[in-house]
Amino acid sequence: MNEKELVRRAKEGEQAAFEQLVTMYEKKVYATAYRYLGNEADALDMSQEVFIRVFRFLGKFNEDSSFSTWLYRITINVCKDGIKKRGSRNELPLEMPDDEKGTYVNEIRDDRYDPVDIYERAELNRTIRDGIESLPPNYRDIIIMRDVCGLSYEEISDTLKLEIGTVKSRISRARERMRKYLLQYGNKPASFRSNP
Amino acid sequence: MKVCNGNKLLISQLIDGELSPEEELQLRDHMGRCPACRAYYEELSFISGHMDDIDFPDDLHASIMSAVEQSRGGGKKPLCFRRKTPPVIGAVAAAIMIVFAGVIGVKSGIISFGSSGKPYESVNMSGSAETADLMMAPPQMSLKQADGSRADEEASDGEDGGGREIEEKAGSSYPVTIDSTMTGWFNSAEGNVTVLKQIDTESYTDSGEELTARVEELSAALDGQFSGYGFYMVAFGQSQDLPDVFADQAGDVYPGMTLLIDVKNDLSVREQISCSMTENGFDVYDDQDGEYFTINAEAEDGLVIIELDGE
Repeated sequence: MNEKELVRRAKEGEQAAFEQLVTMYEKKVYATAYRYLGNEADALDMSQEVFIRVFRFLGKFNEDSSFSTWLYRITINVCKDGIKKRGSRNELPLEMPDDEKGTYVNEIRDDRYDPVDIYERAELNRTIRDGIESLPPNYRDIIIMRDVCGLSYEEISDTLKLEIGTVKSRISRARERMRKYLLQYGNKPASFRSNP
Repeated sequence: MKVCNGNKLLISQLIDGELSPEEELQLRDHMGRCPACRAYYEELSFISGHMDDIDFPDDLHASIMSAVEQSRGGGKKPLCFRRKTPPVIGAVAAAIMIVFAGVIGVKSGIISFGSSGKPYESVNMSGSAETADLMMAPPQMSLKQADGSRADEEASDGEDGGGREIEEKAGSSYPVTIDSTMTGWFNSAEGNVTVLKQIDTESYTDSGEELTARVEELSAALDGQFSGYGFYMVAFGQSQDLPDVFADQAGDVYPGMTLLIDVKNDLSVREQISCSMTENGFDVYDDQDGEYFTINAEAEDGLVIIELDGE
């Protein structure tokens, strides 16, 4: 069943269709929230609120427009509100040992990597998180829209009411700032070459 | 090593797959010969590729579905399944109240209102006793339908069964003291808020053109004769639901957003205030003070014009 059909059915109240939409987008929504809020607990809260809102407002969604774009707009708005509500970002640090064994409760866990890789990945994650936070809001929004949500230039242009040329250049500048941040503050992984 | 002039933008576009085949070929050929540009490309690709490289909680799906389910069971019907044509006056009443919450709420903290028929318990405002009384009871309001007809219907609380009559009185106004606003647009004022006009949106949510015409008519009718400020509450809408006159100025619009519009001068959108969903409705935040007020979730999209004298 394609997305339009799912949306149509969900609007009609079909629970299974709504749940399938959640399945399709929950990871992107969570990733976006994680990049805005910087920790798992808040990202989960925001993800829940996004889909509560989607559920409530789906009846008003115009099916001629893109569901994903609409969803990501809500996501970004919810995340921004979440930051406002909380007052500041990143209250839960990524790398605080929480017990005697040094378990990193909030750390990214992934058994596919050895301890060095785990550390390196967590470190990279933290640096990216801090780098995003260091960006001016308009750069932060646009790089998250592009690199996390995966919105096209056109969708971003439509969402932010910007000319395509501005979108291109702003994404480029946001990435350049992120690059500089990682070069300056990051414990750079070997795969990230320096380019002085 | 320095990235060649103009290539930062091109490299960023290359990562996004936004270059034409010819441009891409040319750039890749160049990077084959230029270590600086190649390194820059690799660095940007690396960052871009790791932006969404995160792990997900095992219970992500279950917790989202559970939260949605809980939100359904919170005593409110799911709004997306509500009937398409709610009682006009109910919508009007909600929208009118937005004005008061909007004007007074910043100072007052949380103001809950809506169709429950309950008193407005949380009000602690800096206005006169009459103002407080106003908030404790349904207001007498002046309202006019978009087509110019008068609304002589009895408002109903619908499912609550509480029922509440909205008595219409032209030019009703209420004394308020405003110590601050959500925008800093006007900082302090004392005077009367008069509800001049409310446009029911149910008839235009499917037709931006129609609303545009109405707003233009409204603008012409007002003709700069009053100090009007409009609150456009986007309870459910999306950007494309906005009348053109606002959509052209507004940034992205989300459900739960309020636009503050300068109705007196040029219909310019002065402020967009985002809201977040709560159990009871929307919390609308004041960026400056960090305070907020609550708009009941039953509110409709709508434009409410108020007059604030004594500014």
